[in-house]
Amino acid sequence: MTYNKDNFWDAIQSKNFSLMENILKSEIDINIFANDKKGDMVAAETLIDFLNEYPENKSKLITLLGEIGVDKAKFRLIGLLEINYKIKKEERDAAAESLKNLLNADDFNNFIADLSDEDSEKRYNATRVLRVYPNYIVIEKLIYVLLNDNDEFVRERAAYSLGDISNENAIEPLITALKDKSDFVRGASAVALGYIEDENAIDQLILALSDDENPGVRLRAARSLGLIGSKKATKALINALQDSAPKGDFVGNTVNKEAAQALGKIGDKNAIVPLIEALESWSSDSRIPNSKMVAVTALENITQKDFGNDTTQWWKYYEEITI
Amino acid sequence: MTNLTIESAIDKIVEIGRYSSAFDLRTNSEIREIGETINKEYGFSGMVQVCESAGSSLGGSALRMIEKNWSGIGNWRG
Repeated sequence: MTYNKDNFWDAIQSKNFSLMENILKSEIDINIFANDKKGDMVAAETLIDFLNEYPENKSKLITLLGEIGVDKAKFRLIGLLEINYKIKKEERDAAAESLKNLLNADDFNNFIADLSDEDSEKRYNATRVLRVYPNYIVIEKLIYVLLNDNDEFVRERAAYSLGDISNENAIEPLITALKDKSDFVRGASAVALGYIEDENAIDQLILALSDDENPGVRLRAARSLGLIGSKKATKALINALQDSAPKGDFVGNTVNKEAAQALGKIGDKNAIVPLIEALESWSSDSRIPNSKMVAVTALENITQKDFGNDTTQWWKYYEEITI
Repeated sequence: MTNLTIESAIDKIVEIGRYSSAFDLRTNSEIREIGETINKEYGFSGMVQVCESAGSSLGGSALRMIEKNWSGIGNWRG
């Protein structure tokens, strides 16, 4: 079905979220709609509510909200800069881009000033929002905060913001921060280095994956090695497949899962055997059902074959390709 | 939130926590809702079990944040 901007407006006015969802999934040019509804509070408020419900990628919707340009949208968009399992990086990028249209020069100067405020909540918020302006001044300020702020949550937030900005000047400071005393800062630095996708970070991420005492840091290092996608990390990730799960942890060790996912992304055939072995050992452990699925997906990504969790077929396939 | 077992509660919190910042762990409304349901269904001991297991998968500092998130649920003081 073909929709036009009037259909979308009708759906907004009647708060018909399922119709709004269908229209957004179609090829409608949302910019035309935004031009008509600049400053429209009803449109903005409905879109803010809809953002919470919309299950697909929200980037298009976030851009639309920014284009409508209502001040009230600022707070919702700032919320979308948070690091959360429901918010994808491209959605944070869209929120940052939209916020740029809603913030002015005074806002920028205030956020810069807030970085030195005694109140750590102000510093946290400034560190979060300043990623909207990916310029040299902001990058230098965020690096200073990452390495010097006395609050671990502010330093953590600086690492995430630097990762979202993804400028290469931040690589060395983020590598330094992989040794921060706070688990959160080390974990965020590992994530940030993955976003920057620079191979210079691989050795230090491998160290974090194998040596960090905190599983939250190790799993983030594994994920980032997958994002960088270099075969140099294969061996360390294979070792991490056997990362020991804490006793009584029946959801399985998250480091194992992240390592398997990363191996699937890298696509190195040397990981086939360890992944089949992992699938076998995880299969006998009913406590970790999700891990099996992750190992299967990784094998499928590497081989382009679909044998599910049938290890006999995987072994047969491996024998065939090695003959 | 219905049909929440101890196992599925741990699984969900770990899934959320794998991608969360400390701030998000501390303030995440889904994690709080899970805590409220577990308290209702399994009481304080269920909350301890979920918090410790999820914390052991995500790291000790994450456990601290989940404890804070649940502050005020039943007898829980984070």
